[in-house]
Amino acid sequence: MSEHSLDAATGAPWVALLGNPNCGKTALFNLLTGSRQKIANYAGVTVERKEGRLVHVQNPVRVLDLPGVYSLKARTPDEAVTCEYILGLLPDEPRPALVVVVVDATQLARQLRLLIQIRALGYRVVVALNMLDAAQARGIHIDLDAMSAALGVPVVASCGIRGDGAVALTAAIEALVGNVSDPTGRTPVARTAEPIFPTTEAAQHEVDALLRRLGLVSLPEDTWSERLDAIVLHPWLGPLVLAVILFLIFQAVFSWAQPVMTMIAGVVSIAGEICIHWLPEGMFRSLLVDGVLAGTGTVLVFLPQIVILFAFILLLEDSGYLPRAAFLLDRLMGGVGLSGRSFIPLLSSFACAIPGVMATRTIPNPRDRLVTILIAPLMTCSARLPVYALLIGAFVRPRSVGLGIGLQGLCLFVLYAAGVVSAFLVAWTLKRFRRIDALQSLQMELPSYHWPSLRNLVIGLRQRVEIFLSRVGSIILALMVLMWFLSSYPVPPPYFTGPPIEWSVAGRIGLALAHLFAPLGFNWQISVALVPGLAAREVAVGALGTVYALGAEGHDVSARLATLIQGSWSLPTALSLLAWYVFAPQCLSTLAVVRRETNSWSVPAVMAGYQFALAYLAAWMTYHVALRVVGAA
Amino acid sequence: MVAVSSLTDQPTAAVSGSRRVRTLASLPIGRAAIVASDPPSDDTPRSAEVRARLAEIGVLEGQSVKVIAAAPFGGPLAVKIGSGTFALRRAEASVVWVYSEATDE
Repeated sequence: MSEHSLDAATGAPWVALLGNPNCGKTALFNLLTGSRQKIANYAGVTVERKEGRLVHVQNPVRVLDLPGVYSLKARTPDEAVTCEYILGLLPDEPRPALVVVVVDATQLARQLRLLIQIRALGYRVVVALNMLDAAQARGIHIDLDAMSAALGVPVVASCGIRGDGAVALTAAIEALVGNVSDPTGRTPVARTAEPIFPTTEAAQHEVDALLRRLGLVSLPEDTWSERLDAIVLHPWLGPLVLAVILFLIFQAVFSWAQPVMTMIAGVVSIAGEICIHWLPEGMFRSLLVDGVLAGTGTVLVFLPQIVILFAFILLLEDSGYLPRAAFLLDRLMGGVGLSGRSFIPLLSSFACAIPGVMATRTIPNPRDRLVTILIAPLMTCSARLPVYALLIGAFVRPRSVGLGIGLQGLCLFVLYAAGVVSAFLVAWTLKRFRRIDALQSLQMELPSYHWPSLRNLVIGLRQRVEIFLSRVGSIILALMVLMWFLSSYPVPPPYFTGPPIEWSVAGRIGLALAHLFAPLGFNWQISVALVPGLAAREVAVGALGTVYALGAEGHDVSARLATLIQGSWSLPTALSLLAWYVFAPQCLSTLAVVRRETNSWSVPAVMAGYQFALAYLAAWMTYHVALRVVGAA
Repeated sequence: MVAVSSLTDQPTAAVSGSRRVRTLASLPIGRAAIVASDPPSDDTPRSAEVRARLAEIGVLEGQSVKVIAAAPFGGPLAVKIGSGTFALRRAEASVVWVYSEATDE
């Protein structure tokens, strides 16, 4: 990240990156500034402005990455950020000394139109022709000098996905910005005047005439993508492919992760053994072994599953498949009153609801956006994976149900599906209370397929691992230490005959909460574990680790937590807890982001309320149905 | 199906001069067509608004379009617009009029 160096660049000129959605602006931004912003092969990844500082240059230059736009008329909150900036409607915003218009070389006819409009605003402009390699592979040959002469602005070749793809662009930026005498005070457009730029039609005429002159009309098509789309978008082959992909992911999460999970559990338990061997018995050893190791160790074990899940998500994002999946599922979205625009935000919520809620900025209709925000937390976020994995691992035997399908993977698939189905039911219910526009629009670009880049995959996975480890090392560790104190103190008086933990603060809170949760089949240990889960869902697993470590004899809890709960919980209790976590209203950070994004307290309040009610209802029903079935059997 | 109901009253095809004009939504899969200039006379302000937004992604008079796939159960259409491909709801596609040079039927 280069944010820390930005302070040193105060007063340095700004360079703004502008272009159509998915033309590779952020990939270029990352190369120019050495940043690691998220990139993927679909429109609308960047929903807010990102700042960085140009690397490998003498004089400081600041770079601004903006959400992609098709024209200067904003349709969505994320596009408004870009349009207001470039039209000079933000009085406090310094104007850019240079605008880099990023153009996908395979989409010249549409993307150059934006250049024509921006050029008319009077900015100093340079065109960065991105994806030139893809164009050449397709047989499109572009004479950069001729194009530069025809457009009247410099044209530079760039390639956002190759390490050295921004060298020429950096040089061009440095040369052009260096020429400006007073870069910060430069005002290319009078701020009071209404900005004037050519209409879409006029700009298109100009581009068409220009491309005819350059001999760049009727270009070779991307036959590869078309052939793939014949299968992927096929009315019944397409959904089949989608189902197979999703199913593979859930199978892989369980079957591939197992060896590494066993290894991590082994390391954690060896660390515990070492502590027990070398440290004298007492408070400190208990804190380390029962608090830190039992708590964070039980969460850490699930790292491999999270890595596998994200590897698949990153590959799908990079390939260009995701918008196709949205295409296939759009009919369902329409049925519950949502536009297809809600798909990507909902999909992002599988990682975490927070980026999902932020991605709703790409939804034009405010009511569609609100409904999407309300249902986003029902998508199973990765923090719920440890809870699911623990319970499935403990209560579902790893056997095949035929056709090579593992029962554990199937259960996980069902839990994810339960979240999606509930989200659709909630949206469908809300549909009755609002007018649905008969002309809801989709207008979602289906980009060319790309081979996923190994570099992107590695960077993306490393970021996920870092995020996970830093969560384990900070908030989870802190909560675990707190949990250990609350579970260890006060020390019971000699006359107390029960387990010491039941005398502690945590034990008493748990026993009190257990009255509320008893109808769901939750014991007091579960009830108390739900509380720190408010701050981070996976802490519920760690908290169970600590509670059981202090209650149990052995010290090898991270490896044995599954066995421990298997012995002390009934199957209906386990199923009930799983049902609870499908809705799991407990995530304070999501509620905080929803408050910020909607600028209201009532939306997060409604969200927390309805999810708590649904979680309680679903867990209660699951518990009682399971009691009947198991009891009868 | 839900979304299209209010628009089914509109004619899906008409003959204008010598060429056959139809909505983009009624264009058979795989046939190339050109975006026509004028909207039907019963056009609403709302469909004009949608058309204006479609113009931003390249659905402009004289540009070539082609439906390359249709999702099942009245789902969206995948439409090639110039050199890019976009998914459009059927209701959205039914406010755009197109004609194909090839005369058939």
